[in-house]
Amino acid sequence: MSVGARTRARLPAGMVGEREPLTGRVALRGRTPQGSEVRVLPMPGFTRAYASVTTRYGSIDTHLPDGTELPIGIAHFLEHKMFQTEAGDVFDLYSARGASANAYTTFDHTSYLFSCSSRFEENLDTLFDTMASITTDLAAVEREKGIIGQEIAMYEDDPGWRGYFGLLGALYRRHPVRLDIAGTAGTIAPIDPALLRRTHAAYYHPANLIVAVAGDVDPAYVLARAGERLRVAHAGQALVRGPLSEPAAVAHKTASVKLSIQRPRALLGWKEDAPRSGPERVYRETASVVALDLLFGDGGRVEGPLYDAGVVDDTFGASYELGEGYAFALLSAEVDDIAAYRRRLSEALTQACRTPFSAAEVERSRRKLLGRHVRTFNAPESSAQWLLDLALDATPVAADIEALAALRPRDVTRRRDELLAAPTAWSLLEPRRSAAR
Amino acid sequence: MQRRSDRLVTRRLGAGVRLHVLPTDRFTTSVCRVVLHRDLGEEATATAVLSQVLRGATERHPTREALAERLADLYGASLGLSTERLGDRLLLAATMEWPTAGLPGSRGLLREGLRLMGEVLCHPKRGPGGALDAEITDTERTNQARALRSLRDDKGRYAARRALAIACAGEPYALSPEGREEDLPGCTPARLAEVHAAMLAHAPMEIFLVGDLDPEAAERAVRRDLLWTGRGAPWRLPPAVNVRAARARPRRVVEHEQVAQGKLVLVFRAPIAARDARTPAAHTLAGVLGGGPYARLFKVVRETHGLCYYANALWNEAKGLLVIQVGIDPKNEARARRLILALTREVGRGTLEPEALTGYREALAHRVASLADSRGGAIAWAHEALTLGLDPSPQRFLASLQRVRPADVRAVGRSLKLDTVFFLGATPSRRVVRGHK
Repeated sequence: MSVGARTRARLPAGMVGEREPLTGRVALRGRTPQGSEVRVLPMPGFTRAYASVTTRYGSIDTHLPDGTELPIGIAHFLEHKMFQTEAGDVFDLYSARGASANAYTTFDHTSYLFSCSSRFEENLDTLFDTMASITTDLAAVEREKGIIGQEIAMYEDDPGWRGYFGLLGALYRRHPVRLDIAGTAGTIAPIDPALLRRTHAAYYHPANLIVAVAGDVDPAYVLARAGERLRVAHAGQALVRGPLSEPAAVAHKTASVKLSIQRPRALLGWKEDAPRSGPERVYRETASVVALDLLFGDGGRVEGPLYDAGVVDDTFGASYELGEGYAFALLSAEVDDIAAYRRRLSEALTQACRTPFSAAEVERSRRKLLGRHVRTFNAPESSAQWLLDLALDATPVAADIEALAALRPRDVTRRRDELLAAPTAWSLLEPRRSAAR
Repeated sequence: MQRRSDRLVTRRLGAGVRLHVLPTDRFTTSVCRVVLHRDLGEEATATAVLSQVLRGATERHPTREALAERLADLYGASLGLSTERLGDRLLLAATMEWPTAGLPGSRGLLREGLRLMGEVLCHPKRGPGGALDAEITDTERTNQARALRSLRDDKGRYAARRALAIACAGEPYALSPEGREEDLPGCTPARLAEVHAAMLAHAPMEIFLVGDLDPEAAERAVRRDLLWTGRGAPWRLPPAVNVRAARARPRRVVEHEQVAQGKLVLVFRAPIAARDARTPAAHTLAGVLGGGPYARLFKVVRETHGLCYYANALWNEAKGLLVIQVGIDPKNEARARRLILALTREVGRGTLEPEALTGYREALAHRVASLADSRGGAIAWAHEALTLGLDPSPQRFLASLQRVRPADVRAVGRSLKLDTVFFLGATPSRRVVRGHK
């Protein structure tokens, strides 16, 4: 959905606009000469601005383009070491201007970001310069292994994280989504400056980068500055991932681990094939989210009776996740007795699926999702994340709202039945005996 | 886009009741937060259970499912009730956010949202004799017991709480805002009804409303839809601010637990109450020591020695406490502790490393500027200032920090004494000893 001619006439050169259908905000996009995609959502009146640069490179990219196998966790390790530049520690530069900066690594991308309420232009330059090169030496890399080792240790004690990756390990046999994003102390041990530099050169090329900015900023300035600062001497291209083969069956029916926790946790996953096209992806995600909400959301067909019976509490919740070569639904709960929970859940699911979803149910869930969508635009951070998701998925601005509007009760019922017929796996966390004090 | 002043306007609605309105049209949702104050004492558990029973059902929406449907109708309004702790006060807080712009019919929903909020707070579902509903009470009592046990599963949060409970033993602040498991049997439907009635009648109350409406309209709407009749004289509560000197000799407590990462918490005390002229210097001391990536703990303990992933320090102005937290390999506990103590002495002597001082001041300036975009942040800032008897102006607070000199920090450092050291994990020696038992 493009903006009208009058609006288009005011668009910055080199940018096109798409109107967000509910709020009327116009999201702009352009591309730098070296191929970085630039997305901007002007938010007049906001004090804070937020900007991120993202490389389409994450933990599932386990090889260099020449076939060299990379250590597990190197994408995340590289993210840590990018903050050292020839101009000094990037955190110091941001801190001196009061900006709040950070970075994160996911399965399929790595993002660098800042939020500021002044000196946006200087901070934007720092962000762009951060991506240009990696400045490190052996001592700094070895020291970072201690820091990341503690980050890994922190997550080892986190039952939410352990349960999640326990489930991915049970669902997937080959797909690298099953591997912890940060790796382990053992897998990051061989990382050295040379390997970090090669990885950076392969995946931090401007053609593989996405810029997402939201706030009271000048989109033309952002595009122009990205073109000037996100430049390298050699030609490059966006990462095109090969197919990630994965059998339909799960790797293990159950993965169990004992932890220092008081309450057991149970995560159930449904493994599905990955959607093959953008529209299919939008439809799958939208219909799945509505179906899961109607079953497992507050007062849902499964959640309602299980909560009232005291089987689950407000830790009960479901989500749908999909990405490059993977798609799964996840249901998580803290419970008193895992066996009793599994039995009661199975009974409640059978009961819940006896009848199709009604028009009233689907309409309620639709309203919830619409409300969630418009909240996105209350903050530059969530607005920029929305822009980034659009760029990563290559979907039009209005695609998810249109998919939601078109959803019929029978579509959601069919999606529910397809999803619940998919192969399942459990991830179970049980208290170590010594933890019960 | 911004046509309103975005300034908080306060009105007194009756004895012990204040309404704070922030008129703004920049957001797609409205926010209402109601905070009821009471002493942090014997009724903490009943108040905590009450908050969840109120969230369960109302007279008009007598089941969880019915209430969930109503929230969904309001485009997925979010509604949260909880108990919180601010100094020696216990707060029962209810927060609701719901779309009032950007969606069909949403502009008319402001009143609908307030009505629902009033219903939840004032008209819970009841059983015989005016007691609260027995089934909901039973369910939420069980859930509260579970939640109390689960607190231990978040290791960092648990360690901080334990350290504060040890440091503040004998004070109200030692009590968890979620209450105590041993008090749960006394939380009967009749008792909860008494606690509810007493709080509605006597608890000092602050109501915050942020949305596209002027203060007059807000007052009319709140009086009509949110306030209840039968208010009596407000309780005269002990002050939230309560400081004392550190114990004569610091207490060190080690809790053995089989965790990958040890959690070290150091609590220092200084008899500096929130309104003391030294408070800005105390904040500066904590900020320079551990306020962010610019601070000494981050630079030395993490970056130079590679000992941790996170290390931070915070000044608790209601209690006169400096709380330092770090996650480390248990074998490095003694080394990290020595480093932290040395850095605390360094900053306490008024040695303010320029980059750290600039970083802290700029970060705070960003935080203050960002309040204009953050309704939750603006409400929290205003409420804390009101409760602690502070000047509510963020700009004046910022100016007071800019005036802090090394001598001011030195004055705070002189009165700062180590009170408690808490370590969750196992030192190598301790592990051996336990292994022999």
